[in-house]
Amino acid sequence: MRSGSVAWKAIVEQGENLNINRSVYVLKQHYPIWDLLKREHPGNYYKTSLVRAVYSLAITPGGRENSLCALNLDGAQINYQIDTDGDVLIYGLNIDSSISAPEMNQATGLYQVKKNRREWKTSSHRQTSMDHSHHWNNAHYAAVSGKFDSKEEAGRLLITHIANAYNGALNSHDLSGNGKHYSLFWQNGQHKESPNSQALTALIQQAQANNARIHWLVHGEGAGTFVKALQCLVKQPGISDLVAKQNKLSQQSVFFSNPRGGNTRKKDLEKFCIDAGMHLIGVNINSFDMRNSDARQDARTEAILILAKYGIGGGVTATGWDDFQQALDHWEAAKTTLAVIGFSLAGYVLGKDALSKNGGYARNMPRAVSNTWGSGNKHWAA
Amino acid sequence: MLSRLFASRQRPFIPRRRESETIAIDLSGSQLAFSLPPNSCHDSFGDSSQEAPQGINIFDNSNYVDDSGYEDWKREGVASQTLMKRSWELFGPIWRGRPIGTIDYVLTLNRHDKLPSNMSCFNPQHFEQVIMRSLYYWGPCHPDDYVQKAPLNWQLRKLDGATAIFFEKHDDHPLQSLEANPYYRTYFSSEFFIPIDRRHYVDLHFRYLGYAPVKPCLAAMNSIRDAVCDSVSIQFGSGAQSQLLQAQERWPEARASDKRGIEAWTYPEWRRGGEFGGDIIITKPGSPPPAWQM
Repeated sequence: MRSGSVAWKAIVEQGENLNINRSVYVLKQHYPIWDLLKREHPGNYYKTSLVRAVYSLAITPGGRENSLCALNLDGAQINYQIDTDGDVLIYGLNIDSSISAPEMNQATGLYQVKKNRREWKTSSHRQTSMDHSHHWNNAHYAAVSGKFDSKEEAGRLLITHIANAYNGALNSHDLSGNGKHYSLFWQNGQHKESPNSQALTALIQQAQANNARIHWLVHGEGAGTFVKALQCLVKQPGISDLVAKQNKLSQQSVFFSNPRGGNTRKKDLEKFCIDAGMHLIGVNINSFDMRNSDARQDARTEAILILAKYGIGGGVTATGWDDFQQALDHWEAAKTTLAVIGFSLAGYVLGKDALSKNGGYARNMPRAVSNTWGSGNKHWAA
Repeated sequence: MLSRLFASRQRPFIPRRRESETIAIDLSGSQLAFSLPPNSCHDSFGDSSQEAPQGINIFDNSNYVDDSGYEDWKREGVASQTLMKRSWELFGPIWRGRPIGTIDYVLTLNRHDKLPSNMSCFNPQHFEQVIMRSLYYWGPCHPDDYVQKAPLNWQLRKLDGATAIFFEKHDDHPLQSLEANPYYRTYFSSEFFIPIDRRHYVDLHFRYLGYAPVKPCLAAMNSIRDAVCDSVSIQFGSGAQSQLLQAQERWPEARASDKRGIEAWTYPEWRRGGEFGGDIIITKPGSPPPAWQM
């Protein structure tokens, strides 16, 4: 309907992929930024999150509502409307770090655990992407933490889990020497909450888009988060295909160590991995761990190695909306951001904290923005 | 097992802590010995312990790992090999299965490749410089980590005529971070450096990850650490002995500082860069490495 529109241009077209049931339009003057974002997102956590969000809007089930809606991300918000034809109109992107959790010492997120002489030490700064190029014998290693009191404690213990889980793939010198690191997705509790699994999904897809070989070590309650992320990937094949440039997940492998929580029995884990197309290397079950349902049922000590069969889950209907609806706050958010949208109609992306160093989205956008607006928006190029 | 049953954060339970084992290692003729409690790890899959060898040829260079993995400005020029690793766990109330604190102990053999040929680890003044340089490369050369507060609790100890040095290395946490995470005060490491040859030394490294309340935690952790350090003895072999005598004759007045406070190095200013945004790009250099004083 809007193909002839003067003001709007489609960034995602209905039918671009089987699962996409809505076109997503952006204001014409903003189109170059979105387009650049769509092309440039691989390897960048924030950009991947934004592109994912746009695609999630394109597969939103449900009716046509004319009200203003807001999709909240960690550190940003997309303001949009579903028009009478069922298409999504994006009015603006509001970048505001207050939407996210403030940077704290033990904030959930991605960290590097570095070999620092005698110890493996978790870095004090959060990262926004894994350094896929840092390989130990052909793969980058990444851990998803279960329950620990601190990210330092998790970083100290999980290196040994990695070494044990992947002892066949690693040489002894891979772990010795200085300057080595592995990625740690540290979760300060809330292992079952959507923002955590969404962040993890973005990290998996970011690696997928780069065709990076990742060996995951998923520990304890982290299994619940990882399973949710895998489910999200399966439920949203439209997003997976487009965001990850059609790359498959078969470059990534996972080992579950003492999995805990719902949907983390060995049988379940095998199924989720096959559905998502990720290699399952093995499941280690601590027979003394009475919180693990397999251990309760069958107390065996030895780690069981499974030769992972993998296939690509196909024919799954897109019901991806439910993973995002928690982040959506139709009414509340729209109320407080009316002023923002009004302004953004003229100026599009509004960064409340464009100068703040903490605004990850802001820092990752300056090139796009300066290309589009020229010198009038220098505050972006911080 | 009553001590496990009634353990608390005030009185943590440390498995088999009274069953001290004596470890003796022959380091190319010099006998190093110390005693320590057995390893404990509640998570068998997470056990990283490594038993000590009976003897080792410190001049066999095939097992050392140098620091060539680092960029030049981060390279101290010391090659190392791990001789043994152990962990001890502190348990609290019986209903909590996981430990409330851990100590990781690592014994490392080091070979200093950048020590000038007319200097010696057996000269206490020189050995002190070895340590201060080591702290420099631990500190300002890792600007993405916390600022280091070191050395603290500096102590000189005599071992078979040579000067060994003990100290602690803390992180400088901002006050609000300590208020939010009081256990950060227990997150530090201790080092005991012992010279064993002109350019070789061993170090006993203790890393704490403790809990709050800090006082009983540190009391329990320090008691283990101090008992290990106090038990260390060394008997130099003929080669090391003659080097020690040589050093004492050549530098009869040489002494290491009795006291040392925190070294105030200027840290470089930096930003993230590179392909994945993970590289450190220095925008303003900090203090240069300490120069050797002969």
